Amino acid sequence: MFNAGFSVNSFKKGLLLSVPIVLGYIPVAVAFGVSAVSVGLSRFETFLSSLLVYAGASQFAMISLIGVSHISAVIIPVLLNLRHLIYGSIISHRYDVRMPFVTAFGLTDEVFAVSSSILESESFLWGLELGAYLSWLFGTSIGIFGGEFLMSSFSLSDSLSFSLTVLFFILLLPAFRDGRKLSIVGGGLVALLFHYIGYTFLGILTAGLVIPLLTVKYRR
Amino acid sequence: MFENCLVIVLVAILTYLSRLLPFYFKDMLKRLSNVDEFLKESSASLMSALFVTSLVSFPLNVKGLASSLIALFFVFLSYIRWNNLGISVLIGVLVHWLLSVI
Repeated sequence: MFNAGFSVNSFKKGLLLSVPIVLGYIPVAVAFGVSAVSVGLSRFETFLSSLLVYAGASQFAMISLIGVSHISAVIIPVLLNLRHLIYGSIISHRYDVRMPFVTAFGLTDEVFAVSSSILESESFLWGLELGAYLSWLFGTSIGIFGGEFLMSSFSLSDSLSFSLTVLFFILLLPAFRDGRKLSIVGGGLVALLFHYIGYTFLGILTAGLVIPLLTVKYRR
Repeated sequence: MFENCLVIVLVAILTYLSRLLPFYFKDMLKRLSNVDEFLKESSASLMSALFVTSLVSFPLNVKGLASSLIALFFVFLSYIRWNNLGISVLIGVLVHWLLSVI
């Protein structure tokens, strides 16, 4: 037992309910492993990213910017992660979290989505998070060690790198559903304009800070 | 190598803090009424920016862009059908690859 509130059954239930997340994570993690190695990260650095950062979109953003500027490779993923402030805030109100320093580590988009729809104990969250985390590490390892084979054997290089675009696209869909079209169109156009004149990082930063400020102000 | 590791560790620490701090400052965050809204809009806008900059490269490669857009259409259909990130990524990569070898 980790603490008086730990429930093996809830943990197992969480682990079981992590299966759909696992199925979703493995291909994305494989793609991350392949992409990271193909943009020049070492195998160690690639695995370290998944081991320590454990945030899909941020990891993809980080590797796509690490060759451009180290500062942008830190700032943009962190800006992307600001949405986690909302997740943590909601979960902390819904669950009796006794060990936030453990629970917080695995609170990804998908874990949040499942845990916010099923009200259980903190042990459940740990089961859910552990299953998802291990699959992320497993998938990354496949990408790292099988990537070279995939790239050389099937000329999949471009298409595997395209997984990054696919991931951003899919993560964009819920925002469309939530009616955030103004931010989506505004952010996309500003980023595209800056991208065209060669200041991609500045465009992404503007999209993350200025556009939402204007949108919130416009809506008030 | 060192710089890359430093970037990874910094992103990891800041990511962890963004997940951890709301547990300690939940009441304060709740009082700031516009923060939630700003974060949601920022997330949507950033995702859109990352999407377009990864999709489009200059000078424009029309054939490549067309292949990507067709693949994204299939990604969209698969996501509507199965609502599974992994399946959609696999389909996107597969369609993109098929279009590139045709």
